[in-house]
Amino acid sequence: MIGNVYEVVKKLKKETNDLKDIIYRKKKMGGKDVYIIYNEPLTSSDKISDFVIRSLNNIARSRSRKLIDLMENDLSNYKVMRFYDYDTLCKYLHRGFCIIIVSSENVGLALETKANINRSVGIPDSENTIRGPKDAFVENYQINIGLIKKRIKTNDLWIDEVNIGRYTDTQIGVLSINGVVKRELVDEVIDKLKKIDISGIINSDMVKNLIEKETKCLLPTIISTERPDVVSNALLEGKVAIVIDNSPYALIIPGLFNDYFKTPEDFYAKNINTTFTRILKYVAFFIALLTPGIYIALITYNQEMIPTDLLINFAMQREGVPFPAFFEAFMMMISFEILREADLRVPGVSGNSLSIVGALILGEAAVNAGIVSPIMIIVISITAISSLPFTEPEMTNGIRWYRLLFMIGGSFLGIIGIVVIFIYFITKMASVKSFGKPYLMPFAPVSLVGLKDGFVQFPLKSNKKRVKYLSNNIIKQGDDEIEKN
Amino acid sequence: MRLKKIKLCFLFSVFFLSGCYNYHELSELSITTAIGIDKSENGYKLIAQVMNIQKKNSDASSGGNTPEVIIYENEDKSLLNALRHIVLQAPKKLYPSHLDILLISEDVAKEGLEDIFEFFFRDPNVRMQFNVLIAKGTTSEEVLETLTPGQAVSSKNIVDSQETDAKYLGTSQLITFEDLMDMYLNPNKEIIIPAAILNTKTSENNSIENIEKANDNTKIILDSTGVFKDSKLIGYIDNEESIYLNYIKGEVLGTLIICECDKGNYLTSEVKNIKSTANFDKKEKKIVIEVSGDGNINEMNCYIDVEKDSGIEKIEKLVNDEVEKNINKFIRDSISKYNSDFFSFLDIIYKSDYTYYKTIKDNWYESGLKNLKFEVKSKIKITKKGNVLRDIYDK
Repeated sequence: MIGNVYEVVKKLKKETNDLKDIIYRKKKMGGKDVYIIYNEPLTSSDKISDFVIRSLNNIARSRSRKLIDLMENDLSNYKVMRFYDYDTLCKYLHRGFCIIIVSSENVGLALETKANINRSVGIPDSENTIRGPKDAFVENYQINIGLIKKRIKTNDLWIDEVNIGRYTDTQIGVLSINGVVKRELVDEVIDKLKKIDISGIINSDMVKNLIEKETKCLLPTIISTERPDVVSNALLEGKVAIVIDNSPYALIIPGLFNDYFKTPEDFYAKNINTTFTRILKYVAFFIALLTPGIYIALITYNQEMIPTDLLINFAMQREGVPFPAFFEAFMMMISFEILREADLRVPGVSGNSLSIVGALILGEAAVNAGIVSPIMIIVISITAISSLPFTEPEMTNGIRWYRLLFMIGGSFLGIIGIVVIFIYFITKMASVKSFGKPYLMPFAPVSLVGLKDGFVQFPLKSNKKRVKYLSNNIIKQGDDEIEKN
Repeated sequence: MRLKKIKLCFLFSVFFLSGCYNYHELSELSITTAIGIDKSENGYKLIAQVMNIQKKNSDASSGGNTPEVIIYENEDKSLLNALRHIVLQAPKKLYPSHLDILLISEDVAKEGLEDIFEFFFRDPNVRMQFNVLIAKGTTSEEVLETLTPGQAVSSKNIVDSQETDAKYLGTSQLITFEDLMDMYLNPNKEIIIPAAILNTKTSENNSIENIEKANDNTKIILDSTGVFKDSKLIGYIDNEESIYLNYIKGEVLGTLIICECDKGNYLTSEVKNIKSTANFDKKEKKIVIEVSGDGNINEMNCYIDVEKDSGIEKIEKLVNDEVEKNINKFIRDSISKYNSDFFSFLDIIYKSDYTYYKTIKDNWYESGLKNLKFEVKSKIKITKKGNVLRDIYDK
């Protein structure tokens, strides 16, 4: 019962431990007590003093209408909402709204007066393009939605809102284009989001971990990006995007295997050049996965598969090295991972010199001391370089685990071990489903339309259809009939 | 869920149960590049040539005084026993999977090669792509000991020399062990194996001094081809005749033809893209050998006007006549001298005319081979003349 303003104010003060940031301003208007409550760090003082309080002063008083209706009519604020109970009052208060309650009225008003404590739209720092738009998401929900909406200007862009988190009450928006996306996918996503019961959501990756199916495949199944143009392209194909407040990364569902090999520039560059880089990425993927394992297998079990001259070189280099081959490989792998992790965490000032020292130690000094052989350094460097072209760090981390598995297989059973682990790997990947869509689509099961953007990219003009597993509305360009969902 | 965990544990333990079945560290293997077989009182004397793996020191000066290969030898009546006893001398086990050549000495070849074939054919570790050679006039120990200038490992020297020879000169064939087994197991074919000799100029062919000199050192030279009958060595055919043998077998890729165009003046023509086939003509019951190819004029010491068509035709006639004459002479001489069908004519008859084959196969060596009719047709065309239109003799 929010009409009893003194009770409300006392309850609020008790629950927040009389927080000094919450300001209670009392006015008398028309014989009634009006309380204006707002949260100072979250609201902008200009808006409250100039617009709210000043216009409250200028409201004409009339006896025939209720004060609340008058205020709602005449207040010069761009967003006015009504609320009827105490919990909604608290919710609006914590969102930066300015609350007006009038004694002995059952209705309260909440006015949008949020302060701008965000950074401005900047350059994406983890997904670079050479020619392409250079704006990136920020930590504000409205600005992020705005960046997407200014690219897709249609009534069909529907946003479903969900709030999650007991203490954080984070606002989450599920975007989809009506008429292109399949409704079941959106419903499934919203279903899963509503089932989340957690004390707080701080970043989008927490949502990612919570709604990803526990398939135990170490490769990622949801794409996270900080570029609005990537999100817009995905929406146009029939995917669902999730934007989360306070997080500069948006999620795209579903994320299939082929999508991690695409860059934002794939749609802007010539298709031949894109084909080249795409094939290069696939080759880099397999190199990063298989090279240490195959090296160990060939050196210790299947020496007959190496050409003779190379074998003589290897034998010369491994003469006098005390450790067996797979132990050496594990050691180098671990040192390299430590180096990589250290490079990320050390603050910028001392970062560069430390990584150079680390590389020198691993390379030159270890070889000269006779601990490792030079060929092992080359193998590890090739592996490390090949895992750099991927923008998604989850992909690189997933590759790391499977590479370990290949090394174990190679060191126990040689080439046969590699083959066995490869079969396991392919089977595992083929059995993963990302929200009902098979992970290895369009390669297995084959989708001819999807293959136009698989290994090889066809020119934009011939890419006229959408893939069937994402959308029923398959005509993208051209003047054929469009069938609605 | 419990069943899944049991299955996973089982799968995992498979890795440990295999026990690292075939695990060899690289430092336990000594890579064998050549094996030689000699005759001795006890049976066979086996010589193994292994690579001398020295660690590359980046600070010490390389090009040291250690040879690249080491020779181990052992005698026994069983080949495998001899090979295994080498472990008593060598620090590492011999690793034969990278074998390059097998060198058999004359004495062993004259007595029969079946034992050697049996051993190498049965062993699963040995691959069948190594070349086989005969050490003519010397023992295989001498040949394998030689440190050759140009290519430090002598087995590679021989293999490279054979490959280049096969492409450009055509005297020796690359007989791999696989080809050898094919020739041995086929009752219609006889074995031929190329041979190598040493031109002994110094007595210290196995020391570094052999490499340090530019001339006057011992080199391994590919010479004639050994011919066999019933897998026993019966003789040699020299380099010229080897080229004609390769014509018949269809294995020449490019070679030189020298013919006499004037008294004492010779014309040399290099022929490439040679396609030579030997077929059996059923109607007339004779072997027809057809040779075709593209020839260039490389060296012409007599005057023929090559701008006219008649000049070219004259040269073509000279070249073709030379080829036909030589092949005919070679076949007749070899049949009368050796009486062994190393041309594999019987195989050709078997493949093309089975009924005739059945009639003559029983007494092939007595009457069939001697009465065999054959004809050589050579259709080499001269396509290129080099840079000179008129030769320099026409002043």
